[in-house]
Amino acid sequence: MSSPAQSNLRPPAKCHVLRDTSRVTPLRQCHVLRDTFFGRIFGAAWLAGLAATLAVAQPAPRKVDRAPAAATIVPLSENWRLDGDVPVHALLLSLQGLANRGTPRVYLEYPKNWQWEIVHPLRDFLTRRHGVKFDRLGTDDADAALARFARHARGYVVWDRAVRSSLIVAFTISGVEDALVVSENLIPLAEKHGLKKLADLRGTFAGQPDHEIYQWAYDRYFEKCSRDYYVILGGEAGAVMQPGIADFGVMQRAFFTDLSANPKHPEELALEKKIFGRQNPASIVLGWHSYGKDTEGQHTTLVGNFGLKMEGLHNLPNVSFTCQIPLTPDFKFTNNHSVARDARLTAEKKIYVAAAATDSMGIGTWTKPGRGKIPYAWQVLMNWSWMNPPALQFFYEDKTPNDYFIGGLSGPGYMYPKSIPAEKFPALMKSAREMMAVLDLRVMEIMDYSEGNRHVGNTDLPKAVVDRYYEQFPDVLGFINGYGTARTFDLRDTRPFISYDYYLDVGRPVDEATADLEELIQLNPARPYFLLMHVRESNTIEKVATILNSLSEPVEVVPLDKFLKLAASAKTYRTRYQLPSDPVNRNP
Amino acid sequence: MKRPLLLLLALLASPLTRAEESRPLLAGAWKFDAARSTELSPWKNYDLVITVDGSLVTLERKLAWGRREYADRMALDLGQPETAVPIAYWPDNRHLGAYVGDNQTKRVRAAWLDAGRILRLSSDLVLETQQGPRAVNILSDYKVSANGAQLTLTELRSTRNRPVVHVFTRTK
Repeated sequence: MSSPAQSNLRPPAKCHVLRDTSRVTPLRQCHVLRDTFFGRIFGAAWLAGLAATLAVAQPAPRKVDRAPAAATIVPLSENWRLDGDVPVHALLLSLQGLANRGTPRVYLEYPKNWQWEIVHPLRDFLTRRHGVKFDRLGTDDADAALARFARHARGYVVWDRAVRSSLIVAFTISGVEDALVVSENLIPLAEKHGLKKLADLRGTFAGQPDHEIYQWAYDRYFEKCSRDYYVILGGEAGAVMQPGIADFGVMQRAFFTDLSANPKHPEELALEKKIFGRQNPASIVLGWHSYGKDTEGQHTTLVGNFGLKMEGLHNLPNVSFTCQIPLTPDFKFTNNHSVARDARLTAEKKIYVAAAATDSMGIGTWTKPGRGKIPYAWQVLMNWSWMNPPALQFFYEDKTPNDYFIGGLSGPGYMYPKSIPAEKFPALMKSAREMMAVLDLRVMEIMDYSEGNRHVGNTDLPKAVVDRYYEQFPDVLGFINGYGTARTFDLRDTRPFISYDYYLDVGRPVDEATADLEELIQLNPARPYFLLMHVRESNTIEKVATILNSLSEPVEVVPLDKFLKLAASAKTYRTRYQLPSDPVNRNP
Repeated sequence: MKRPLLLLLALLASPLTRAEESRPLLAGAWKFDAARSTELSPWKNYDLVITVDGSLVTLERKLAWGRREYADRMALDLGQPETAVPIAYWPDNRHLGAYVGDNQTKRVRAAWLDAGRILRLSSDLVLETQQGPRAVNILSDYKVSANGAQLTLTELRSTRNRPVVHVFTRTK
């Protein structure tokens, strides 16, 4: 058994002794550190070690000693149209990012239909476990919010309501100039609270394509922006924008774009590559690709090409608030292990089923009825251990005995291993190993859509990449692979590498899903048969349980750690890696 | 009475000839009707084009889910007892960990039934699973409605307990 994590986490960075890290790059910080203290002591050897460390390190957001006793809640409406409530939401998001820089002050209460569905449960958790007493303003009440927090802004930046991308540029300016983001109609409100105009984007970008707009912003602001965080404020395109991560980006002085990774947009792609290349090694790419420009596969592949870590949720809310709050002193991360790390199990001649959900805890079915009914694995976003500790504490404390956490996705963030240059792989995976130890995780989940997806192409790994995982994760119980189904299988020493044999589509009816599983059982006649199923996002656990109970064949549903231990004992699956002849589709 | 009976028997015994000589009922472009079909995921759309040229029948299908598309084409000579059809991919049920086997071929026996109203295929192929190769037979009936406006494809897979039913409407 590994020892569970300590309560107050820090990221795998070595420069976190510095307090406010949001304005200075880690390299510059550490030069300061060297000159003032360590440099004369450790000299060249220390610098060499530091250089190696910086390959994977980025500063964590500053933590307060304990959660604030009081904070302000501003509820947000359900309207996320640019011609609706986005202007006031953008104002509040920028204000939140600025006001929360010193200490957590503002928590935005997103509507209950928000994709990340933990906003309300987390609010209550912060009150119950962290003692935060929230004072509630009216819905979208920017006037009241500014009365309390306008002092944290130096002025305002006006975005152009005729040019969507100008709002994204305004978030960049907000961070580096401490500016409130306002549309034209909100200028009087900003000035009522004593704020002066710092920048005005109205008319600046008329008729310009996005690559020119973001180049303009790059030329003026990029040097002032963080090299540790870069925000791709994509997701919904057109008339809707859900920029929930913007508060954290503003807080961190991140550069914002929604640039495309699609070769169909060569100018945007070129600028995107330039930005990725300027960011610190293994730094964080926040947000999500634009649904209107490129694909998840293209975007994630490109991020991986640069060895960067993606935290891929553009509407992840309130991170500027939660990132500063440490775990409660009485808490440590403990998982529901059903078998000892060194246990040896023997599989019987039966069908074993394990189910896993990997679509970011909080946008799936965590809060829906049925959780706890059957063993279920949940993939943890490991960077939240230092970026968003209260959220992970919430999930860990809310788990049932049947909820089992696993690491992923492919490493320290959402990444595709085939896209990561081999020389960058060890440092990234070292970071993943360290977080897995902290989070008490023993299974690594891998996904790779760089050459296909669940429809076309392949989602498999060549032997060389599988070799890397076995080398980098000697202590895991095993690996699981895919998103849709995949066919990479292996077993080395006691660590199986098992791909998903079934993908439960959200729209798949119970009777067809039941027939699917029964067909797999027919297709795999040897026993034991190890059937690993990936459950897509909003499928409820009740639905999964109903499907499994409907099977005409007896199966045993087991926790994932037990499943892997059993799979290690009876290799009825054939070793297979990606072959050169396998179909390739680069997710156009 | 013997001559008409013999003639009738001869006609029934050679449905292929009947189909060749009459209007090819199945020929045309067909649009998928999701509401009356087995759930199609991971695909959303299924376009089917059937052409008939003498004993040659060609089935072209395009499966799509947004930008993700898969298309294939199967040319069958009904004058032959069996046709070997190369297949690079098995898109029929992408929820399953089952893939085209190493030989990348399926052997198809095809016949017209009911005076060309039904095309019946019996396909043998090998699917690869985590446990290795597995022989699978698929019986496919392409059945045209009386008015020729609807096509029902019923597939019985030897490994599946439920039939797969796809309903199409004629577009041309």
